[in-house]
Amino acid sequence: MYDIVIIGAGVVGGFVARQLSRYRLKIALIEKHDDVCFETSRANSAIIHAGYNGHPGSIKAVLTKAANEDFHNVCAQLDVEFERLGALIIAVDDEGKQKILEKYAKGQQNGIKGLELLTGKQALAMEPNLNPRVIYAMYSPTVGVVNPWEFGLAACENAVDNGVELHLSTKVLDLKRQADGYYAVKTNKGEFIAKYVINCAGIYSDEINNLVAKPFFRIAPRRGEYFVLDKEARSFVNHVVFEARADDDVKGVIIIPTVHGNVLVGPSTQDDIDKDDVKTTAEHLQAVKRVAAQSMVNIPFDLTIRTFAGIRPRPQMGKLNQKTGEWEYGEDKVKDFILGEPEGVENFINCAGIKSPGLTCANEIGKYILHIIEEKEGANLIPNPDFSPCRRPLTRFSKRTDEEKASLIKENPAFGNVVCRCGEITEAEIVDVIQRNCGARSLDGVKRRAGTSLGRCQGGFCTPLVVEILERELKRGPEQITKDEAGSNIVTDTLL
Amino acid sequence: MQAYDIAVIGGGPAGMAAALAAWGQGIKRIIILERNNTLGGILNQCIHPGFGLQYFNKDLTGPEYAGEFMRRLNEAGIEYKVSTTVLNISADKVVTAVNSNDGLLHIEAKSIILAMGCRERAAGGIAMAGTRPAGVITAGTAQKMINLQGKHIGNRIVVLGSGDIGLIMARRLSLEGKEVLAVLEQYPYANGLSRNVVQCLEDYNIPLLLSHTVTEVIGQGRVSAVKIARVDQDLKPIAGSESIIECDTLLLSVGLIPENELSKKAKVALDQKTGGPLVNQDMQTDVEGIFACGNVVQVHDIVDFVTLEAEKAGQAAAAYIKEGIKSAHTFVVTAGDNVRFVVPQRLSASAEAGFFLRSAAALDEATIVVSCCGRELVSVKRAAVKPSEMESICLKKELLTDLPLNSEILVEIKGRCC
Repeated sequence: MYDIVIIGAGVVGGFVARQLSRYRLKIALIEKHDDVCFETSRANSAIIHAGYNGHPGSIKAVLTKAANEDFHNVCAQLDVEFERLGALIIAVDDEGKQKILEKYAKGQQNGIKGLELLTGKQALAMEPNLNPRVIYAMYSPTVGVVNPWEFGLAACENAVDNGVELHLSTKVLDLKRQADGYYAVKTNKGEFIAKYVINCAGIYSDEINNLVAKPFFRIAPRRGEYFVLDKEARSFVNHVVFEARADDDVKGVIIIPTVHGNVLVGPSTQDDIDKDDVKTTAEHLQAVKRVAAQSMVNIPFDLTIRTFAGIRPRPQMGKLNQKTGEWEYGEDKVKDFILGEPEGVENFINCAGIKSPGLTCANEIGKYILHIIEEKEGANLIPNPDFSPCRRPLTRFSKRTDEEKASLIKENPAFGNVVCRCGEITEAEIVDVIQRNCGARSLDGVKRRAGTSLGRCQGGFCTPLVVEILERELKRGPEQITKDEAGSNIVTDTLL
Repeated sequence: MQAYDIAVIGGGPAGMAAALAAWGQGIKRIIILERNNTLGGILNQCIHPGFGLQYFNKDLTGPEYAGEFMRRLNEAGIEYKVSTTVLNISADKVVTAVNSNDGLLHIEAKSIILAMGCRERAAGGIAMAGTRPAGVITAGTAQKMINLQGKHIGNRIVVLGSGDIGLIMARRLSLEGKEVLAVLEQYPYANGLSRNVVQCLEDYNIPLLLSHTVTEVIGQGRVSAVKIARVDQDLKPIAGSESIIECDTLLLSVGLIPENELSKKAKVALDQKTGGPLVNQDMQTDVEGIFACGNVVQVHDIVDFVTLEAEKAGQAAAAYIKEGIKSAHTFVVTAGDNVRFVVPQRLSASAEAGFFLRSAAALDEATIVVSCCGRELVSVKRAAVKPSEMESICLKKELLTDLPLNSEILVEIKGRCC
């Protein structure tokens, strides 16, 4: 018997769990994949928004502003890499300029600090590789970039540190409210009975909602494809660069310096796809290049080390057509998050339609849900005496001074074994991310936590070594080591 | 801080030969730093024969070739550290390295020889479309897993790229009883050595599909198929030519990239074309006392040439230490028509120069010409040249001494397109 079951351990589920772990509650965080943060949370633009885009007065606008102002604190608590690089939103035509003026006005209404309108010349002075035809720009100094995996993973780890039970490879098959008011969450790993169910199922949140509530929204998946450029490209760009239409529409591409020192260029936009279809296509990657050229010139695409695609959970709100009895869906103007209990369904709480800036808002969404529970439970809630908002910091060997490196190796010789040469990541760091709560269980799990195979060799050198470490630490045979999920074994059999 | 005459970065064939050559010139304070747990570099995983035909006049396997150099190193008593990763090289020649036993090391050297080798281009580097499942692996990584770790990486394999490692691995996987369904090459000619096309593909009935590429990787979890297509002259897939090959592995042999991250830290200037340092005929970079050799300079066809190049670097480093000979970058060498790159890219006037070059296209009735200020210095004729086989030409010292300082030396190939 649980107090709360959270369905979906993405960045939102992770932060909801983290916030709820402030109280002595029996919480299960259930995730159908073999690792947390496996869908939208692992493939996105990694941008921390300022808050000028949210519809004034919407929950999204309020949460984004609060989240941005507090972001460095959350990252400090969770030891997550975050840089406030600032963003340049640029226009090359009158339509773009109009967009910028609208954003600026919304920004003022939303109370976003530091926004500055710039001439094309001023923008070029800040970012020399902009398209020289830039006529207008807005500078948003509070925009940042975060390590997107680490942010969600750290929240999940912190929640588990605080006593939340994490159930991986656990897929919800059905959800019913029992006569006693409790929910029965049926999964492939058995039934979870809980007083509250919180729906953080991302691109599948409509399907979970529909098990107990009216289908008042649906998730229309939108795929975005990206290029990752080598660290050598990093000196090319200093800020996050948006073309004016990029962050709320389908036409723009963003150029993003990452916390790892790479450059991300994307996303493309493709609708009408399956929710799990994260393939890249030559056609849309080509489109990214074409559109990016409107923002910046001579982008060094020859330094591409990786391409990937992610799915954004774009919500469409439904209206019941009284004549036909059918639900009809469309995008509304407010484009708000769907947070809270749906009409007539008690103790089932949606965190749905969390598209951009969901990464930015994740911790604030967690707090929002916490307030709902606090209001409902009141004095029943007992603070968790073991709660800490901090997770044990990682030891990032490459960021240390020579003296610190020497003493780290003295303490633990595994720091002297550099496994990933592109990222200078040591055996000790890899073992640590496997042994932590919510630890790595796969090659990509290690990649997202320790940063291996993110570099220019893309795992060419370290893959055989990381596989060996996983075998040793997990006490598994080589054939049981996966790249990410079930069926993704790297080794098919052995010669021995 | 430990002081040495020469620090060699990398203990593969280049590093070992360079150290031995310097030792032969009487330099005794030498240290080799190697990140793997043994010397020998990539040769250790190359268990096939074909090594040493030029240098030893014998047909050796990779481990045998490496083993001979290890024996000589041990006999000489040259110091080396394995499982040791170099983190930094400063322009004033201080090497920072770590390993589990010594911790963090600072090594000050009078001369440094860069011998870090190269890495493979991965799927992301060619913006491969499709999903990103397990089973997409570079040929060298697969070779390491199979030959050194005893682990198989798949059962039904398609190879993209006809570089030598791809060809060697096609044979290796066949010998292990795996099905190699096809080798695809986007160019109209094979990228590996002709002898490897014959011995690794034709002898095993493995189809080589020229002017073909993989347009999409298909599969969740593990690769389940690849979509392939014929490409046109501009290497663009031809619509309507697509077909699907069901397989569980896509092996990539799509290029090697010299590993020069440390060279950049040492402020060594690189050649955009080779990806390696700009060197003169003594293999000296533009930073005095820093030399480079082997695949960190240019990707060689065979290890024998690596050894010869490394010996030059080792001897020059020894001369630099003993006699303070400053090997200048007096002339600039330019890759002209039909030449993809040429090494060395700089020359001093002090010694004869042997050029290695790769053609940019396959040509018949070819002439390799070296000229200066419109005047031909030397030329050689070849029945045919192709990008997959390195060419060489030698320029005598006398021809250099006559040239005006700082003049440009042009290397070009004339020939008929085939």
